[in-house]
Amino acid sequence: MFPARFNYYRAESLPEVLDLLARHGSEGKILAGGQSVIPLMKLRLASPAVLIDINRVRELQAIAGDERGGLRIGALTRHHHMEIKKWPRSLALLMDAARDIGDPQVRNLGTVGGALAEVDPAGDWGPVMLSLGARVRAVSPKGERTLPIDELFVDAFTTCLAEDELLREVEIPPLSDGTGTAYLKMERKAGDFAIASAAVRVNRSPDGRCQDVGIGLGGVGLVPLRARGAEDLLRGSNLEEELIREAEESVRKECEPLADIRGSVEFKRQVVGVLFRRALKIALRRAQGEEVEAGHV
Amino acid sequence: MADVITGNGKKLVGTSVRRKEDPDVLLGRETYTADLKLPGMVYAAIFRSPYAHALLKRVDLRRALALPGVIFGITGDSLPDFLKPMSLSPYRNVEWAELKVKNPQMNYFPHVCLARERVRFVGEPVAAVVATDPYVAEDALELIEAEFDPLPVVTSVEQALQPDAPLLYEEWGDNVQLRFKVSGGDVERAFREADLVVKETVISSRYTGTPMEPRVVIGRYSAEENYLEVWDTTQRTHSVSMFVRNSIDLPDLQVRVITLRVGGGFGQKRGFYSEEVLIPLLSILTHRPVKWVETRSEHMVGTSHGRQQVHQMEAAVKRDGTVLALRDRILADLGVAYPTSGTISVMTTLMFIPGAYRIQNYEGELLGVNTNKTVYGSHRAFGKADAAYAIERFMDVIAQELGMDPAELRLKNFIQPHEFPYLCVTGSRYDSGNYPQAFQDALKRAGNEKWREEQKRGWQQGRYLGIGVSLVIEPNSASKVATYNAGHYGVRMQMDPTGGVTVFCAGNDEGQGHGTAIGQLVADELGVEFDRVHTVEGDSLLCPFGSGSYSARFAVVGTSAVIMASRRLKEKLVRIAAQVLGVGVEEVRAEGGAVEVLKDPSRRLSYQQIAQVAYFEVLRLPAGVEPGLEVLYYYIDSNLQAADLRKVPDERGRYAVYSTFPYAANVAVVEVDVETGRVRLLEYVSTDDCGRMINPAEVVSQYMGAFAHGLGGAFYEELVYDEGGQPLAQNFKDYLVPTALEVPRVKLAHMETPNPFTPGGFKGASETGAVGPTPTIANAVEDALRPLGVKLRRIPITPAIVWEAIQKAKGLK
Ligand SMILES: Cc1cc2nc3c(=O)[nH]c(=O)nc-3n(C[C@H](O)[C@H](O)[C@H](O)COP(=O)(O)OP(=O)(O)OC[C@H]3O[C@@H](n4cnc5c(N)ncnc54)[C@H](O)[C@@H]3O)c2cc1C
Repeated sequence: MFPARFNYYRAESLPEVLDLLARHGSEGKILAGGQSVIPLMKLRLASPAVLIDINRVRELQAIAGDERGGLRIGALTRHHHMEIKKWPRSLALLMDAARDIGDPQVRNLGTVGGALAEVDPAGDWGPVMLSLGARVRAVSPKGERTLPIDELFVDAFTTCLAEDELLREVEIPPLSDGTGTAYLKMERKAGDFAIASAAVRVNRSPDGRCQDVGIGLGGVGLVPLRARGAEDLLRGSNLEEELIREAEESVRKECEPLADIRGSVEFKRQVVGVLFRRALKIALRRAQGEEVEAGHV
Repeated sequence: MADVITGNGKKLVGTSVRRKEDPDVLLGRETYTADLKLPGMVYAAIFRSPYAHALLKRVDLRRALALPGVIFGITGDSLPDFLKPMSLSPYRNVEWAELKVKNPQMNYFPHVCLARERVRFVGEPVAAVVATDPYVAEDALELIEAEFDPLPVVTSVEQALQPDAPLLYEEWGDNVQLRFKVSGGDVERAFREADLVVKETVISSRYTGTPMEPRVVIGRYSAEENYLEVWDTTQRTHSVSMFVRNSIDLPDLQVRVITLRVGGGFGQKRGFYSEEVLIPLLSILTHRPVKWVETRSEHMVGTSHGRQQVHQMEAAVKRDGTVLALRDRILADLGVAYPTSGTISVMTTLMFIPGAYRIQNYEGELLGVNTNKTVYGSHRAFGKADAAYAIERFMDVIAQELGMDPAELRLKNFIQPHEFPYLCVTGSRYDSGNYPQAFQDALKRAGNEKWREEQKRGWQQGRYLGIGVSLVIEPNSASKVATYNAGHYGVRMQMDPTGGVTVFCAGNDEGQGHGTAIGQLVADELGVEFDRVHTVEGDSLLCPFGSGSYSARFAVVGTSAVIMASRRLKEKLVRIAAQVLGVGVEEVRAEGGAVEVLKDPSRRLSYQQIAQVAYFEVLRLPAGVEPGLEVLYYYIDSNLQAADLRKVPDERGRYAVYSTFPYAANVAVVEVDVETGRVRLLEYVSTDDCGRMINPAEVVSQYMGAFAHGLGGAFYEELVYDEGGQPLAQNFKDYLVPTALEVPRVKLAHMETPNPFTPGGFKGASETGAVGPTPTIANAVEDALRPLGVKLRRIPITPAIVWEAIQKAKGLK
């Protein structure tokens, strides 16, 4: 472990973070869980001159409900906390996703905010938050803004955040009754990033109609993707088997996978379609109040 | 697990004595080479080629040398004259050349420890810097200016063999480093008489051993004494001392290599490496102790790979399933021609293609081909895993062509128990075994018939279950004349004046628990307490000369040397005691750590009392008996030295290479998700025969480690290169090693067929665990997909590969 020389600052509060960002934003990097940035520094693929450690900043660590019945997840929330939290059944996908990220060491340190800010094309929180229609709140010395999660992801490993901007929290909008969610990931072995993954949020009215649906895809593009075409097909439908197959094909067409060590373009298209279909079925059963394991693919 | 620790009365060999080695290793108290810190120590970092193939135009160290803390730097062009090319041979020369053997035909290239003129793989050492701090050394690497002129790259054997292929070593005229042919019987005739000829190509991908501890080398040179000490995480302490001595040609240089506890070897630490010359050289040139610790990323490109072979197989078979003859043509992707033992390893593959079968007509041909990749070296189950994979996959292909059950086909062709010792068509003598019994046992314990029924039901419901079987042999204890590995194992055994025993051993321990086994053996043979037996290994000056630890040599020749040395020591104790007790040697016996008079056991001398005579009262010794209690024993492998076996290849390439033949029968049950290509291993059953077991718990733990590695080969581990020769798996993010979560329970059982050629009946244990999974699981996956007509011809079996094979089968239908 031989990173290049760097300076290290530890912030104790949010104002201190903002102050450090104002001074070092351009040459520095925020250190959250360190599970992405430290490995890069170790391999000297990144050599920031400054690290701004935010781990002591309490304001960034909370998970809280908001006035409207939504949820705010502080950027520093560890994957592990997402894994052990008792979520309402409608948010079961948060547990599905959290428990398969990396290994226990990665989950104990890695954070939701760090993972979203990293924009790893195969990361897990991206598709999950896309399917939920989440928004992110960012702060900088200049002020604060809230933006839809879709806008955060600009390119692989690139967000729209300014150098001096901190991702503060993720807002998950309230979910209506009868919502079911599921996240399915196919990995090469435990602890690996996804070959492909699919997150589904679906809401069915008592008469069986699909009132709303959100589909997030991972590992099949430069950034996490939202399968809007498939969503449009399903929204308002009766979720007939044939239509689901059609949506599956749409998912395959909408994504833009790259061939790599995890598989060919065709293979990833195949897998993401299957994952979507299976996740949808689990989400639908969960929406009925059934207790269903997302299981492993 | 029994926790027996005394040698009195009860025999320890065969019991699960707790390992001596574990507490220090598990509690973090062990000293590994990377932990060593010597006064004045400085740190080397190595600049490696980022190109797979390029002319080296210029390497400029000036900026690096100007960095404060950097004390030295060196390039291929600034190596001193006394630095010689590296070689596998103890004679500083080409393999086999001394023996005038024409087959194998091996090319030799005089690589030195830093590239000159040209680089031939990504990771090849190009320059080195030495600094007072390892971080500074690493910083200095970034300041090295190197200019390369890229050349066309060769990344596959098929490409390398094209007539217009770029050449790695122009002076050879082609990219073939090694040609070897072996044959026996009348193959032509067998093919004429066959009812059916079956052909198939079987491919295994490149993978490696990834020991938890990467390589570490420390050099310390004293100019006054012309004495060089090298600490090295090698499996071959003495051989490395020769390798260093042959590569650094300073007159009268004395070299001592020391190997501390090694954190896993798996063959990767058996090769000779540039750093083993470079780091000592740097200590000679700087007059400082120099340390180099390999990083994982360096390890993935700088330490040898294995397994990449293409087999073009052909069998002549009878309708009833009798395999009359085999042909195999192997194309092995050797990477570059550095001196690891990849060449010998692929020759071994060619020798053991006939496997567990009574096939006396065989023709094998091997081309060892160079590509712009890391060198192919020894890798767990040295070439034998590859042979077992090829033949066991091919047996399934034959069975399918015949419409025969794969288990039936094997039972039809096994060498039978009464045929042992069995002379294999390629010249080795299989010591012992009972293949049909082991095989039937594994089938029965796996519930083969039940699974077959479930499979049929499953197929009707769109569920794809598969059952794979195999019987793999894992030849052990190699030897070859005119090499470091001449088939002997040296042990020096010393009883000190307090009656304690120290065993100085020619090998070293990468985790196998030699100290524990030696304690058990000596306790049983000599009657001293297990805790009073101490083992010293891994010191080229202190320990008897030996070629190292690999090929299960310790379990076969090593234990034999320990037993024979114990017996000799006992004879001496008895002789001295008889003299002191005033009786004849036939009137006493050694028992429970003492020698007693048979007729009057109250007249006895403890070993300690005898030792005191041997050291302090030497005038009481029998005439002609030397003082002291020290025995040196070099054991020679008897099943290789036998007069009727060929020691060097005859005109058809046949010779005896291995002396003992552990084996395992395996059954795997899998389920395949045809939509995603995901394979789940539902069951793995193995019946293993490693001869007599010294320590059953140790055998099981070694087996499970090996099994995890085999599973890695079957499903996960692959060193992928892109077309430009860039390695795509340079760390554990991309190179997938199975963890506890991937490794299922194995239903493991043991059969003990003693080795008749060793005094203890041991064969060497557990590498069958690394050999079995690849063919067995591949067979199972293909079996599961039979209704779809899927062919799987390569490992690892990743979901992508399985899914694509299914697509291909669908397209053909
Ligand atoms: C072995 C291993 C396996 C892994 N497997 C998975 C997996 O299966 N799925 C998965 O999704 N991830 C996986 N990861 C990545 C893991 O989830 C990381 O924790 C995550 O990508 C980054 O989070 P972090 O808190 O560690 O961020 P850090 O590494 O500290 O930071 C990552 C980047 O984000 C920036 N950053 C961090 N926090 C903020 C913030 N609040 N505002 C603005 N910028 C910020 C940093 O400056 C840096 O550029 C794995 C990592 C490892 C080491």
